[in-house]
Amino acid sequence: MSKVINHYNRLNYGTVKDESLINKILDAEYEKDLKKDPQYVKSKVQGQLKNPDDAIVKFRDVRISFKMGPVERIVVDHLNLDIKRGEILGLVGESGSGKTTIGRAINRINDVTKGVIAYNNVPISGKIEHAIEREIKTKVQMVFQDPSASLNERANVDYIISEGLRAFHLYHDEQDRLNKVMAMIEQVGLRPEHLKRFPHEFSGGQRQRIGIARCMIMNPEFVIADEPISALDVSIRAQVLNLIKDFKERHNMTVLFIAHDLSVVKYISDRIAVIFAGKIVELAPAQEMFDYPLHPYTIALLSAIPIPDPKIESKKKIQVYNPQMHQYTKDDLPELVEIRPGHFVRANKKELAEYQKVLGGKK
Amino acid sequence: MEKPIISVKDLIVGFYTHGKKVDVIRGVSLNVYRGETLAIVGESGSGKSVFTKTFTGMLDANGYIKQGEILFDDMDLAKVAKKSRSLKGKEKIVLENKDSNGPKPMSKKDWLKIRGKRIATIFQDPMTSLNPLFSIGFQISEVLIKHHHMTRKQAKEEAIKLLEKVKIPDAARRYRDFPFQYSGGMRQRVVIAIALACRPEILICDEPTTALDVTVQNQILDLIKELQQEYKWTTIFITHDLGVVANVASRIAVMYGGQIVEYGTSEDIFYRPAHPYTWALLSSLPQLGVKGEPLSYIPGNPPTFSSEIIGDAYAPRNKYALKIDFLKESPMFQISETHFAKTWLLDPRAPKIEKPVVIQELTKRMAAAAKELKREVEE
Amino acid sequence: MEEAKRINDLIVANEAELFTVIGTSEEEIERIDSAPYSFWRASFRQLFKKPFVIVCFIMLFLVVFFTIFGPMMLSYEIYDSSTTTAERFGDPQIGYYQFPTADHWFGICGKNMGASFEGLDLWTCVWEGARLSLLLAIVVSLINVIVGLTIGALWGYFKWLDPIMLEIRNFISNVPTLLLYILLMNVFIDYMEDYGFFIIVFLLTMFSWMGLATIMRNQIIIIRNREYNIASKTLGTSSSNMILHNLLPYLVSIIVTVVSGEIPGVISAEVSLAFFGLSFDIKNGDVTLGQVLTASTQGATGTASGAWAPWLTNWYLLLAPLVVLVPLTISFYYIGFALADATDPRTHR
Repeated sequence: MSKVINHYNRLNYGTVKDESLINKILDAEYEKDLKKDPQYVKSKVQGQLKNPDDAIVKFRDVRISFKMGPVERIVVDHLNLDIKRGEILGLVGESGSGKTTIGRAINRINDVTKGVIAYNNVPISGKIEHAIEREIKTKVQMVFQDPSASLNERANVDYIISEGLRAFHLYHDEQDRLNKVMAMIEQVGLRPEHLKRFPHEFSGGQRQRIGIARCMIMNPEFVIADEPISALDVSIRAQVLNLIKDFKERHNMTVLFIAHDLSVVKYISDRIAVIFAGKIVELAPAQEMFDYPLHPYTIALLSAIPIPDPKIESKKKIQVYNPQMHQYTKDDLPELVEIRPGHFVRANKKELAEYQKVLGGKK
Repeated sequence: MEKPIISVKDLIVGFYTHGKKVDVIRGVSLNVYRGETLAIVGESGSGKSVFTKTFTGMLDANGYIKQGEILFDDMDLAKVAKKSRSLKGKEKIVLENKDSNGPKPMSKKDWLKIRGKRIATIFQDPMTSLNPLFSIGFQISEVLIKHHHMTRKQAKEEAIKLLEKVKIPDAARRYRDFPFQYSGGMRQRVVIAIALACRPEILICDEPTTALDVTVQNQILDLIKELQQEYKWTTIFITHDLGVVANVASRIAVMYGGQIVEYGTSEDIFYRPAHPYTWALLSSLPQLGVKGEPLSYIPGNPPTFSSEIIGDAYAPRNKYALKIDFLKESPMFQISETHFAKTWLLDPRAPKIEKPVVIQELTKRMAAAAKELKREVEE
Repeated sequence: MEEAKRINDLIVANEAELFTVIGTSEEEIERIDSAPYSFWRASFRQLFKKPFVIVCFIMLFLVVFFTIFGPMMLSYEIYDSSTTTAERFGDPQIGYYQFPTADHWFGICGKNMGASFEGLDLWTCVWEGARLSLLLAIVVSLINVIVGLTIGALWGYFKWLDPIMLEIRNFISNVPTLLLYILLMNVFIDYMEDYGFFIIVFLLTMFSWMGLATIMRNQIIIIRNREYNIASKTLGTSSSNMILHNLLPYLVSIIVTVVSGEIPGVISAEVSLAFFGLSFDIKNGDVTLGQVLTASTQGATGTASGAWAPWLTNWYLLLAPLVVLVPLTISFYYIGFALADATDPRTHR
């Protein structure tokens, strides 16, 4: 397939065996912070997978902030997350919770202020070599939320889908490129005669499938699906979901699926991370998350999903999550703790005890 | 039966696009009764928004009412004041003016008396109704001063009351805030407060929660429901998500391709859906899916009206399409006193078909969903 | 009617199997019915919907036609230095002025218009002038557009370029242009005979690309962070492709607006330059519309009647250049705005 990818394969699995590169950067940062504030405590960094080698993308103590004039607005702080190779990780949170920011930090649209994001143990955040940056752009692809905003309206479908191929010249000749585009467009359920059309001639669902085609033609290892179905009618959402899942299974990709609605994520994800105000509050395998939700925010999210049954709905009580409900004190601060194998919840010691009681009762 | 507040009869709305005239609403008849919550459900492009825009005379510049009547009180909202209207692209469309003894045609002044005052609309994007340059308090007071002839001081007090009504915390202090300081959900509350200020008889909610987070969506829906009980208005609720309306609607009309394909009470639609399109809409709800099975969806795209629709508009996407669907439009079949559906499947000659699994197991799946989603059901 | 009958026939013919399930077809449901869209074709159609656009095109065609063939029709020399004015033309007593006649369709220039215009055929002057003005306008606009577009696009796209370019813009906008023109003209005056055209082109392009560049920069900053551009960046699209395929096509209608104002703008800029005496020398056979206008409105300075405008007694002296200038300017402006509207895809639906 590619001249480019053969040029450098520094991000491949196994090139860097351990977290030494990551730790070097984290240590340097710690030294710097220590100079500013001698009381500075190194934040606890913990992997979430049994075998740390399983992770394709690692977030280590990541802070992402935006400068708005003189004010620095921290969107995500102390983020630790391992995304397992070959899984679909659902990242669920409300708007403004930082979920999109996290996704976009992986392919370097958003800069990381502190900490490290690593791809196969190679740091890919901050200042990196140009070659590695190019490599990320071939290996990490993205599906965007709003199909009417994320397609170039002045380019035809052929150009849009082959944009990535052209950028890295991943084809032998014009015919080869066209064959690839044709094959891809049929895989997403569109027709070859659509290639000469422009995005505004398509319905929302078709546009999103064009967006998926342009992403998948790059044969990415890692896909960031940023709320790919939120802007679509409910009736066609499943088509897009099934498509992403199909591609994932056939090409053994890893997917970070960002959404604001738990009901959808259940179908597609292996694990789900619930995020609130820039912090992961709960992380668990999908079924576990539905069976034993612990954090009050997760429970609020679950109970908010409407059920298409007038009788049940008429009796429903909405649960509102109030972030002030936690009684966190200085000496009992919350952290993400593994409460059951693979099930993490953000809690302090007191809450942890309560959650354990809940779990014990249910089993 | 009680007299409807709005009665639409055989409405056809045309649009002039790409140098062609196309009908986007194709013969809709519907009664809306006082105090009810009617949900109009359909995909984008089904004409649900266009349909309700005719109630306030807010059709786009290239749209026109070709035929039909919309009776509201003693007025016919479908009757235009001028006999002909020139549309974009030089084409003049001459509208037949109905017999002169009927209600008089709507003039611009007549519309001003209705729009906002008697029929208010809440849109998906709250910023379409809010002016970013004025404080929210000012914008609510303006309405009160204009519609109820209050003094500025009275208006301010009333506006703060209204903000409290829509559950904006610390209303007195937030009176001076500007829309950009608010989140999407809070903005939508302000829009509701402005609508409240007019004391409308009909509130049209055009996808008011689509852009909001699930948790906020719930709160807004509850707010609308609560206020409706207090103010006794009639709500027309437009959405693409059948799941959302179970909580709010007393009656549901399902729209497809510019027509109402099924309508009935909320129970009719959720427990005894009859049209294959309604089946498909219900089946595609992720809440009713089962993990491990692929989620179902409606293949293809809604009609674009660029070519004439022959027969049933839904037929090409319909798994249960009969040969006749491609040739002839089905009449509206009456299933019960309240329940109607427009599908040949209800014709006595139609074959018995196996409904989709989700529809066969509806109640079972709904109960399972409730359990899964930790719904606390008060018995 | 026929369609209804055909369907009715079909129903009758298929009566036995009317109520059989046939389901969906993949091909059918993904079909797009509307005719294929082409941006330029749609723009073109939209453009010619306005009848005045056609009038403008006809006017423009006529002006261009006469700038090429007009002078040939009467075959006078624009300026023949081998003969004296008196030899060239009739009776010095009437001051060489003459109303339009069958021989001189726009009449003849006279004494007060300055020695170089004395006795010249106005028809020839006007069309020769229009030709040079138009040529000048086209060359200057082309340079302005190419330079302005390139610099503006780079300026808007590359963030690091912004502070530098802003300083340059501030500097340029604070230069008193007219004063600079006069100063430069003093320097260049000796070279006007040989390189007149290039000097004028240089003066008119020196700073004026900045206008388009600034507009481009502002527009690109507005759209450069839109989601489709972020999408292209994640796909590794190069900067040049980003500018050519993602940014410039979105700005076509703005570019067209600016460009269409450019040509009449240059023509009038030349008129005002000529007004201050910064222009070609007719003795070399180079005349512009600006010069003709200046001559007929100012008169020759230094003579007894210097302050007195010749057109006040001979109205055709002003009318003739205006007859060319006004349609030229109006049609360029109008076509430009119509084109800007037509190239805005929002008007295509």
